[in-house]
Amino acid sequence: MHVSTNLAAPDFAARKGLAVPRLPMRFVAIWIALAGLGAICAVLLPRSVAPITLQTVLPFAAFLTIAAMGQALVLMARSIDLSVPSIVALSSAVLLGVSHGNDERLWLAITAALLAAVAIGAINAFFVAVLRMNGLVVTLATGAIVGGVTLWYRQGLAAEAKVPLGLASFAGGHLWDVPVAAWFAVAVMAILTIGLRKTLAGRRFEAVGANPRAAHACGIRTTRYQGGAFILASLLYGVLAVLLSGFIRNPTLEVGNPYLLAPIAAAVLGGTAISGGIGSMVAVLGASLFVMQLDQASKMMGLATSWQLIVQGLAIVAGMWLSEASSKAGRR
Amino acid sequence: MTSWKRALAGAAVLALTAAAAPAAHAATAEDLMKSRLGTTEASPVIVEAMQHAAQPVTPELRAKALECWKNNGCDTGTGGKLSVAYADGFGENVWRRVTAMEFIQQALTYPEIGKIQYTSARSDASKAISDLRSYIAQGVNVIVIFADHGAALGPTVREAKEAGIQVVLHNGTEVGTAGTDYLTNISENICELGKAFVKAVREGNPAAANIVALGGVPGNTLSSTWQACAEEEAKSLAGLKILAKIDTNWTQEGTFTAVSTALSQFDKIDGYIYEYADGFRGAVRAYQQTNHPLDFVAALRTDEQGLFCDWEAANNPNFKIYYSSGQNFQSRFALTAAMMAIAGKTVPPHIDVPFKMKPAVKGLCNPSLPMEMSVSTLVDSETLKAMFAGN
Repeated sequence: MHVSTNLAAPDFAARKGLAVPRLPMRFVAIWIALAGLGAICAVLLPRSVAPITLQTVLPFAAFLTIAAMGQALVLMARSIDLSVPSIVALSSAVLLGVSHGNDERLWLAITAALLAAVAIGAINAFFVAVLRMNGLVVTLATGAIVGGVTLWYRQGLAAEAKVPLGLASFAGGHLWDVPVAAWFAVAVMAILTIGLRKTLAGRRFEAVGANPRAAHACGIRTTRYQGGAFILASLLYGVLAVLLSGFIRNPTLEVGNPYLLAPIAAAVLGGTAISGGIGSMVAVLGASLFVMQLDQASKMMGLATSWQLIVQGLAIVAGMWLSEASSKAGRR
Repeated sequence: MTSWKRALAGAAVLALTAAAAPAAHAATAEDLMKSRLGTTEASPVIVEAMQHAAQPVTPELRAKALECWKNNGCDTGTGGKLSVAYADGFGENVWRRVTAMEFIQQALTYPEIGKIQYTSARSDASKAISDLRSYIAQGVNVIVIFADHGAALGPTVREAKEAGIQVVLHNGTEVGTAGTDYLTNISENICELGKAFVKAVREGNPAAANIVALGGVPGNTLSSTWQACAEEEAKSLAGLKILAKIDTNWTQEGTFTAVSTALSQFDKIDGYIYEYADGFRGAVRAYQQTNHPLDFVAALRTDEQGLFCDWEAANNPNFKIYYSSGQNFQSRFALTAAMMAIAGKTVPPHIDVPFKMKPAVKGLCNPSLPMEMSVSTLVDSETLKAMFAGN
């Protein structure tokens, strides 16, 4: 691997006695791209940056951020997770099934929904980390199986399949004019950033992703960290499912469908290295905002779906190029 | 099934079909046509199908239908010589499950039918083809198809026709040439539906000027067909414009984001036209989420009751819905068309199912049934409750 792991973490250069973190360009690039997109939208499509539009985009950006952070963890562990839509749909179905739309059972339902997600993550972890099977194939298979189980479970659900009113009010609510989902995304980002940057476990996790053999030689239990990435990611998908279900109120089997490729795109645009070890949750947040704003702007331009897809694809390629180019430029 | 139960069920079917008049509580065929199709003027196939559908459902028949539905097929117990099959290309939502029950209940009104079979391809084209091949190999007499996979089924459908099987398609799916490659295709006139949407918006709000058209999966022919005709109709009406056509993937979530976009893009939207009522629940959510007043007319093809529950809950006189029908009962028409052909009657290659846009009224919402249930289904509520009991 030609990228050194010190790009993943801020360097601390001694300057007049103060330790000032210097962010690698790899993670700054997406914020520059987001600012550029914002400026272009402000000039050519002012409505797309109007407060009402931002209020529309923000919850979806938050949902994507949570999914993308989960995917970024898996990518950092040198794997990939294609079971995200199925896990989200399963968690959502369990939430509906256990709660029966009843506020009294809300906490039980949320717990069950999160446990269901974690259980699938544990299965993925077992096959990928313990049995050393290919993550792409494993998660594709578990995704299909979980999809089937969810379909069977949903067919036997209560006739009135809606989330408890308390959750709907909460997930659709605002705190200081910012959607609740956005606060969740920021909180998760902060926790993960501190965990990765400031704890021993986080450092070890990055080391395992960067070079599993070297980490193993240093006495780090690589299986634990690789499997843990899947489990933690699945917990995030569970959180996403709960918030998203509350936001939608009547989630269907398709509730997880938008979260197959978009989180991978956001994670990679955010500078997460597919080769493992390198990632920044702050940059992933920026990338999610970028992807959602681009999606919204292309829709508001009245582009046909075909052109929307082309524009988004080109933007992702350009974003990746910018990210790679800037990370190379930032190396010393 | 034990022989005495089979005999009992058989007797029930015979008694049912021999009944000259339906039970007092049951609707007549004319009632059903008026309420579901908005007219009593329709193809003889539809008239005959409705006469069968109007026959009362006895407890024994209900039990038999449920057995058949749960087990994906059954012997009817009548000793009939004919074997009929329903090949569903998807089969995995409430609408499809109810449509299957419509087919089964219709089949149980024909004493000459001794065996009913059902398969779901679960969106897998190769399974859809192998299901059809299996029916051909078994030598069934009738195959009714929800042909989700369209042209991919062409050669197999032709093979079935050549084997002497009466094959019928329904609900707007297309394979090859109707009347040549298979017996008949049953559907509403999709172009007229698009025009009716626009007229309905104007009926709900004579001053309506701006409409947003919502479509399904990008590039699907159903949406593009009715949208083109809706645009024609809009041009013919003064001051009416279709602002945008936005894809929704036919999901509530997709509709939510599509309508959220429309709300941020346009200052005033007077109406929405769309083929999927259940998906439109996402539009209601989008309005509620952005605290927009529900001040528009929606014109929709299907009639899943969840939206009507949302509409009643909103209790807003400025929010109007016009709807046609989910048309689950087309599987009944399809079976009857095949049975008429077997009886030597002439069946045309296309059967247009009449439709009528109706305003939503209070009382359409029944919380004890699945929200995805079409209010116009001909399956009786007792059977529906039993189908989705234990939910």
